[in-house]
Amino acid sequence: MSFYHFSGKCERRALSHPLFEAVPQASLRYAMGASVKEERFHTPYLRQYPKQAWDMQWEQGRRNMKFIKKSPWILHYDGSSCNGCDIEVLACLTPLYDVERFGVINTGNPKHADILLITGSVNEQNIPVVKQLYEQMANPKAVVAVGICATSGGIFAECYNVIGGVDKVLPVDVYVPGCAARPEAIIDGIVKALAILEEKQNDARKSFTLRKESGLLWNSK
Amino acid sequence: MFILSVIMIIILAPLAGGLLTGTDRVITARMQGRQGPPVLQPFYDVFKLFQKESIEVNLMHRFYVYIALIFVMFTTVIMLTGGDILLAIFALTLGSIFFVLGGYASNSPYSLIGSERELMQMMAYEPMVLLTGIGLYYADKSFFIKDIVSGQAPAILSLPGVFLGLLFILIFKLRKSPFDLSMGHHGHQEIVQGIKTEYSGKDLAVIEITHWYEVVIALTLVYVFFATRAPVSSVFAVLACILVYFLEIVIDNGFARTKWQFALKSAWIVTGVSGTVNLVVLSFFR
Ligand code: SF4
Repeated sequence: MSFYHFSGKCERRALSHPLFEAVPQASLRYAMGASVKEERFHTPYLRQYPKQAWDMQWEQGRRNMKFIKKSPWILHYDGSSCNGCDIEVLACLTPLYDVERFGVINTGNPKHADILLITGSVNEQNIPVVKQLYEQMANPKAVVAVGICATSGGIFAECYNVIGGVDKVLPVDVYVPGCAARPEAIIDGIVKALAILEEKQNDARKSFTLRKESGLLWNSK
Repeated sequence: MFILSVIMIIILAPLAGGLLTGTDRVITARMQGRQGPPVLQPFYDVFKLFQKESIEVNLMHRFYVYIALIFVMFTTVIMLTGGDILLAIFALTLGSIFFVLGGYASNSPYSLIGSERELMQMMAYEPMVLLTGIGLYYADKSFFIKDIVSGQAPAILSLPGVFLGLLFILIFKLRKSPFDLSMGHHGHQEIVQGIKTEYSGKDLAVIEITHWYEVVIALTLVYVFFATRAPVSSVFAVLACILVYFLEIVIDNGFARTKWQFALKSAWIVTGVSGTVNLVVLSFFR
């Protein structure tokens, strides 16, 4: 998939709030003690949010309204890799695995997508591309790094131009291990990402109601 | 009573359209050897989109889509309450034009190309839509759908050619495969999603709902060809609608997308031959 060129300027008025950007950056997580080594060999690694009692209450109240879990649309992007994982992502759509059973649609469009599946490592050339794709997705959104390349750079980690895993650039939510990642593992990763999407949606709602109550919303005059 | 039926139509038509779209997706999946999503999947999609953020490209961007929805709703109400078929056709065209303007509203190259192709598609199918209205008038001497569906004989008997032409252009209207140039249901086409490219969240959901209404409108046009005064004919008419929808799904799965030149030429040839010849023959008998 080549460079996406969409109309650059978009006003995010409806739901832009620091809470959306409150996802800890990768570097921060490493500072907090997570290491690449640990993540590499776990089955899809899930970033844990600290839960509070009112989080739980909110979730229970909203449990019946989680349509995002029923129709996750994905966008896949292949960074610098051997292309093996990308083909496995497409294998998920074939009759054998058929992710459309879960409502997953492979959109070619960041503005429609909920989950960004990135295979392959990040290099100097594709940093702006990856960032742009992520920024063009509508909130709530999740990032899934598929394969060891996307997790840490994999066998390309030592290359002169490779920066490392996707988490050097984007806040990655789920890591899917494997070289190549098996379709089952990828589907598992998508399912894990759904839980995170749900949480992000709750955060968005909370911030929305908070701002509405405090009169900070652009249309709440 | 009239108000009540209008409200019922506005609520029930998209429900029917959504269910049809869901069945379409299941049948398509089965034809490809897959299990496919649940029948209610289109509703899940739309509800999800309503809960997502809508990215505004500029101020007019979403306005056009909502206006298009209103005109398409208006068309559905006219058709299902047995109103004037010409008025319905013109309101539907106006809705499509607003939708095209929505594509032009953003500066994205994909949606610009999508809009241009949509205009081209309208050029291809509009003559046949008009001929359908004229043909129905010729057969039943009335533009009102409630008169046409209470005729002595079904309109299909005198208008087989027009009906064939209608079947052909319904491929455009239902956005099915050989002619889904401007925006397809499937991702990963050469112009990403065409007109839909820049829409997200609520606005995309509105586009989806507009499509549900359009499915109902398309099948109502088929219904009109089969219904007569006899109550039992409505059963046949509904059966015909289901068959036509199935046929369109088969066509969708059986053909690859064509170039716009072929789409335009073939639509006009079908219109010119089967539509016009039918009308000429009919004028001899009347
Ligand atoms: S993880 Fe392995 S299979 Fe996947 S892209 Fe990297 S080298 Fe290829």
